[in-house]
Amino acid sequence: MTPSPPAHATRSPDEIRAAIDAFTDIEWARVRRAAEYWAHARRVEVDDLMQDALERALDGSRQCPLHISVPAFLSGAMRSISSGEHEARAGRAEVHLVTEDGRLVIDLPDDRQTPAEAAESRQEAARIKQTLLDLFEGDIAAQTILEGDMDGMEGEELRGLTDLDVKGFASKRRLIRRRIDKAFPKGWTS
Amino acid sequence: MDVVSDPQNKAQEALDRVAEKLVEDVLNATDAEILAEAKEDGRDIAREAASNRAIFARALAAQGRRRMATARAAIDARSAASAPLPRRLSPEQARQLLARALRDAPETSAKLTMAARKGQDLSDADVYGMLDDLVDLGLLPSSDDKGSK
Repeated sequence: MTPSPPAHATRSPDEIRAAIDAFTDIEWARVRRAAEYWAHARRVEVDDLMQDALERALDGSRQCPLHISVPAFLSGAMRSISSGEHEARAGRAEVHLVTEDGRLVIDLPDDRQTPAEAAESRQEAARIKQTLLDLFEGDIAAQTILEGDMDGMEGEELRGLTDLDVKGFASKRRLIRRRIDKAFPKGWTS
Repeated sequence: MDVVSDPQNKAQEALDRVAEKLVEDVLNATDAEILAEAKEDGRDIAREAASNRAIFARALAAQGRRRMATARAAIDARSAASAPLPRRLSPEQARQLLARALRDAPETSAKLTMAARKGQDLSDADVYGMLDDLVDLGLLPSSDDKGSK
């Protein structure tokens, strides 16, 4: 049996580059699909997100543990980048205390969300959540998995609630993903 | 201090967790499943891969440009540090240094041209050239910062 690499062992940028260089068409397809999920959820361009993640992977600014596949590593980078982009746009107001006269000035840059826009986003997110659940009306197991995902439940704990075996659980996950893909071909945005 | 949960973030986080599971499922799908789904969705995997490889090539090129810029900056920094003193001065500082050097070394000054002694009607290039000569003659230090005072 091959021993597992130490948890802290990471790939060098050259190793990451070589691994990406050797991606098959199908591995690229996986990375592309991951990019689409993250980009659509965060309203960023898929190509830009991919390129940004690839650049960061190549320049060594992100560590790629050996026990994580390179596609999964890239997906993590894309999640992080898209999340940062989203938060930068929707970021909170910057508060500046003007010391001369003691006035408190709240600086809201133009590209940040106004309270009305934030409320709209909140409603939109709630609407999307409900739409996702409605896609599986009558499929208790699928709704349970989806709600569990939303609540941050993991693996066996969640599977235990569905009475599905491992294979059935994986099949149900696939059904969930494919139905969401068809309902949101361009992803969802909130 | 009480932390009030942000309902917008909560909803967004819930959707993020769903996206994370969708991504996880794609990454765990077998090759056959990926191919079957692509066919069902009318996606051309080979064409997409070519497009993705082009993005990778752009990322490599961008990385190359950054490395080149970093290397160039390092070379420039080393060159600037090792350049003779006169070359690190502004034209105005160079003229002041030349005037002072000629004043401090009248014998040498006498050997130079009248124009040079006066330090007038000289182009910036002439001034720098004169200073280089003075450095070569050992009348000016090559690496300290006296001239910048």
